[in-house]
Amino acid sequence: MTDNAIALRVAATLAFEELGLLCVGSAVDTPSEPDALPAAVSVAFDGAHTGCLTLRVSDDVFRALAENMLGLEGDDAEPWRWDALGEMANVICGNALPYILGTNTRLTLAPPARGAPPMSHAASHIEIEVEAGRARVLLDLGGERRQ
Amino acid sequence: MIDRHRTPAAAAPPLSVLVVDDSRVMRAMIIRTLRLCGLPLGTVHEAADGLAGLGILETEPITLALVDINMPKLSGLDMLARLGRPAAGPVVIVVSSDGSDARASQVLEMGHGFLHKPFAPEDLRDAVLRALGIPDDDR
Repeated sequence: MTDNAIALRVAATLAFEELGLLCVGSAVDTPSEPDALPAAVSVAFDGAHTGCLTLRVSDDVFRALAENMLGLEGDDAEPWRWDALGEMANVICGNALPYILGTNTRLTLAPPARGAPPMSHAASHIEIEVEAGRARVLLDLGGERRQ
Repeated sequence: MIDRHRTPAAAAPPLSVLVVDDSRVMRAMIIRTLRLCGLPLGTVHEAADGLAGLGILETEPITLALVDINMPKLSGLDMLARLGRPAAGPVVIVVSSDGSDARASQVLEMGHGFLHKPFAPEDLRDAVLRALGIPDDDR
């Protein structure tokens, strides 16, 4: 596992366990098919570096987040589920990037957006077990911006 | 040393709370956690950016403010700098995913509490009790 992947895993584990109140299991070597992780949100960032972090989760994890974080379930909870997933991505991004890019790197995170933009082949990624489901985090670093 | 003159959480006067965060999920989660913790909540205000938060702080008698840093229009730290340190100002806890030592030191030097995201519900509860000087009945 690369340093970037370790940072993503640590940040994702903290976020799912502390914010999402979900147990995180092992890292998964064989990535799930995209259909198995249907809910995806992305957080683009800009500043000294540009890039994007995408979080994809299985449906059970998608539902459990809003239920655990906000006590919401049922059809009415659907918009909140996306917001909860977006907040998870935001927190993972905010925690992982200082370890990857340095704590003095100034970045601006965009609001989370639904969907997963195309990633470059150089993107870092991890997939972890979350309760009985899975979550996948991808980080595409677009490079350092010269001042 | 135990301060026996401090008021236990259940007997403390109702808190007038302001939660400033551009994420409605985070605002809802913080408010839900405060309620579940058994803290005596009175009026709870919400703001989605620093400018709106400043407006509430300048007009409402807020006793506890939980403030994010990175927000549109006006950051949490800029909001607090503009507010200054009024004599009867609120107890402020800055809640941020920016957990660098430099950021935490900056917040503490401003005289505010700091809580790193992600936080467990008990972390939020502990931070609030500590900031308000309320003894923890559960310990």
